[in-house]
Amino acid sequence: MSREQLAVQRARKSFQTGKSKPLEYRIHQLKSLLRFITERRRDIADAVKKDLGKSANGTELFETLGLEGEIKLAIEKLAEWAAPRPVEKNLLTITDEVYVQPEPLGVVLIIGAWNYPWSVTLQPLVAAIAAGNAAIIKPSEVSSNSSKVMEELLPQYLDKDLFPVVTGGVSETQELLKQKFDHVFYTGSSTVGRIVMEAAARHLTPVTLELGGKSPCYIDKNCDISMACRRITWGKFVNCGQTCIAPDFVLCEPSIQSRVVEEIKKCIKEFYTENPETFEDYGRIINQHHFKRLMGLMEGSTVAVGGGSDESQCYIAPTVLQDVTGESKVMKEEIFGPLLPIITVSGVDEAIQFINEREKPLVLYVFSNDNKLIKRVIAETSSGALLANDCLVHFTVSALPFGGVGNSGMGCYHGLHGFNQLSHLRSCLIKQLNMEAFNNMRYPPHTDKKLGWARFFLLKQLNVGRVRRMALLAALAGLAAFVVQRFLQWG
Amino acid sequence: MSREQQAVARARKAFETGRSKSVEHRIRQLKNLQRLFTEKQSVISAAVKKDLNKSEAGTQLYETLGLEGELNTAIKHLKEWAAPRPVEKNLLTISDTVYIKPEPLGVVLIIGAWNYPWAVTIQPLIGAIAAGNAAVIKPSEVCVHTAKVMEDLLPLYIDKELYPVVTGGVSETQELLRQRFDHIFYTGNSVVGKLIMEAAAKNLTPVTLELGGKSPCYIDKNCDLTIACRRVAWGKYTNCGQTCIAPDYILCEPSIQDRVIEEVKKAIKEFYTDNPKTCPDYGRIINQRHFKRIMNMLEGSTVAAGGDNEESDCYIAPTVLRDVKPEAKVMQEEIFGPLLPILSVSGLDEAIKFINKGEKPLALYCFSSDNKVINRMTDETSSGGFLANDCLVHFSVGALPFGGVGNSGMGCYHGKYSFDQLSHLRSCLIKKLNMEGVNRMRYPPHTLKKLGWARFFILNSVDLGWVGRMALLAVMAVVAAVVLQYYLL
Repeated sequence: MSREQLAVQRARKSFQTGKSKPLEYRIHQLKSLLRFITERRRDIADAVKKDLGKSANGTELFETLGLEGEIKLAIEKLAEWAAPRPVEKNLLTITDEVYVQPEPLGVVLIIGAWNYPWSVTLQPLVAAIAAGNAAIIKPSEVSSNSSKVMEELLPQYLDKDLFPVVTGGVSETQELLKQKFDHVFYTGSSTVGRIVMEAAARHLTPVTLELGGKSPCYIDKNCDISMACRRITWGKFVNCGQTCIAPDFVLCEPSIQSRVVEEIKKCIKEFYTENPETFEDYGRIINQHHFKRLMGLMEGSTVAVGGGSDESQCYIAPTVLQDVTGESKVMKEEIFGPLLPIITVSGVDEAIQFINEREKPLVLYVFSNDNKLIKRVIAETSSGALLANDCLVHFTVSALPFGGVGNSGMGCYHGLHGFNQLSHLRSCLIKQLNMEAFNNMRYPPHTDKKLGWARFFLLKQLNVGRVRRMALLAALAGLAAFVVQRFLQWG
Repeated sequence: MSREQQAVARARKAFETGRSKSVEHRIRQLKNLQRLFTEKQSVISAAVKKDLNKSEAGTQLYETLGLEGELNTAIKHLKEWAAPRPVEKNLLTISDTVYIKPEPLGVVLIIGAWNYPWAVTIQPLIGAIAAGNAAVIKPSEVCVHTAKVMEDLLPLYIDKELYPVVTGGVSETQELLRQRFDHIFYTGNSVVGKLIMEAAAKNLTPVTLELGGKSPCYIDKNCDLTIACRRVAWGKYTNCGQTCIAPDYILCEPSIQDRVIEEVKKAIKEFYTDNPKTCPDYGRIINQRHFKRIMNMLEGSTVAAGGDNEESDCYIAPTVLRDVKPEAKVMQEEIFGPLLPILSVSGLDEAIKFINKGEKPLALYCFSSDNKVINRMTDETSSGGFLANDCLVHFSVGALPFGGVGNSGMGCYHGKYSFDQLSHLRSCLIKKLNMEGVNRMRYPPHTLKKLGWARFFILNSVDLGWVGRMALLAVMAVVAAVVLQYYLL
């Protein structure tokens, strides 16, 4: 039996003992995960520095802070999330218990990504634990240092049978995907997403795919261009552009292109100094393969800002490309790097057309002071999410489901959405063995009279709440009439 | 271009014009569907009679009544379902507009089944239309007459470009599955379900799979056996057992087996007379292939009631099998027919163990007067839905999501769930280009001080309601102080 098969088998056996189900246990594991992040902050930061050149503070701001927030939210809300959820009754279920019961699915496979190795691997884990599942954690081998630290340290905090870390590359992942899971949660590219879903299909395993795409960023000429460019610069060059929701490219009218370039140049200098290569808070490309890929993408486009690089360091300067067209190399795939192409369009009409000609992105950005324009963009396009006048930050609003649509993915998570995604929401209807006369209308022989009754009960879906209110009013009116009459008699 | 390719291309073109999106259009199409069911009731019933030998009243009761209900619900609630859904704000979004906007997905493929051809093909269609999509409707070719009626009638009532009916068999379905859809909704069996999901994976198309399995029915010795068996008999023999949520088999203690058989026999007689073959409310097996399949399952088991059959009529009597063993032929696959096996178990423990050995079923039935038994059953098993002390009826509770788990399926529908399942729930956050000062904490250089502020804002997700109240109190206190001071002085 392979190492992967063993891990899955152990996790399933462990799940079947029922130990992951009690709320106390889930909270205990979540608290341990929180301790892991606080106690091992140094180890985590060191690993991320080696993988992506991120500073310790950057790692906290962009990886572990959000994770801490999700864990704390789950701990605080777990009892509420896991409780039976009563549903609206109808005339036929008026004396029954009707509710939706969240239940664990079983064994979840979590395949992480390398760009925010802790965040995108452990956030789904928080949801999996909260929902009462066991989970196999497969960190990305590309972020090798983080993967190693996860493999060594996580078992010291979490139950190693229920939540094993299985490291490895393509063949280990393929071996994992041959096993049966109750849900597969994958973060990564659309190409591999297809393979994951195909593998899951063989076991009828539902999937959550957090994929990517080219997230467009439209800058209307009616807006504070200076502030807009500041936010876009930040959104783009965080983690060296290696963010699934980074603004991939900018669309704007030719009349503001130079201004946009100027403003972004200013911000790059403000954020990353004159020499980003030596600046602590500017990252690196994950490896040489991606470095070469990105350098290749620049071919044929005009560099307006940056362009510098150092292969030995996997360093690419914050770069802006101007007068890019839809056919340029850099527009053929998700960039996932610090190159910001600017494509000129005649206005929002052409921008919408351009966006709709392409696959639905994970996020769409619009910068404008004109609410009507923002509404138009929302109404005439589709994307995982839409964020107006800023970048990235919808990620931190846990009440918003985070996920893609079409090529950018399926399913969603964060907060309660993650809990629901990795639960089975089981419909429960508890009736009594009485009132059998009532059921006569459904039993053969099927007469028109019985049908008439069934029609009444099934179609007259009275809002029970409203009925109760009317009944209450009627009762009050009756009481008032009685009281008034009584007192009038007295007088 | 094949006929299937054309239908899909036309549907996509029609969707791209945007005309399926307005709430008025959706309601109009749904109202047209309502008219179809009132005006063409007899045509529909005649076809179902030929396919499944269901009586007209039976077709209404089990197929179209539920659809009418779903249509009413959708029309009544559509505006509310389609409206932006505001979400809870946090400290960082306090001055922003934050909501979830339901949007159409695009072109949905609906593959129907043959057992309740109208219900399981049109209910998803209602969800698809309500959510603003275009939909390609592929009825099951097995219910030959109904498929034809659907092909003829639907274009007379609903937009034929947006909602084309594409009939055909395996190769037509395979051709359809080669096209790109934005969602595929399939009702049928697990074997084909896997193929559908595999095909969908090539286009990263999400799927809803309403599959089946063997839905267990545990009868506790502590319960009113007469009523229980009556309800089980009804649940089992409706549509000749060809119901995805039919109680597949019974688990009970050996001491009550004889009584169970007696009561089921009584109920069969009450519902279907002494001669179900001539009773208009007793159906037929859909075709000879399934007839043979079901008859084969009898092999090796003891018939306690029924058992008679006639191949030329696809008739199988309401049948009960006793002392059935787990290895019996009838326990190897979903029965989907009028055979009710009874397996003996020593009690609830063994029943739960037995159930958990099998795949997660679409429904789980438990008959007991003892709440503890019911609670244990729900706690220690999993299934798509759970129904205590009755059969089938959870299907008609529009507020309950209807769907499977594991081998019995993924996704769910009915009522608002249909709408949500076939929508994209898009997160929208509308900020303003101001208050840039707050953002400083996130910009490089990343100092400890800035990190501290970020930590405060992201982690102290204070209950805004409480903060709001405190803030209001504070403001009022200040105002009061100012006013007092002003007037006193």
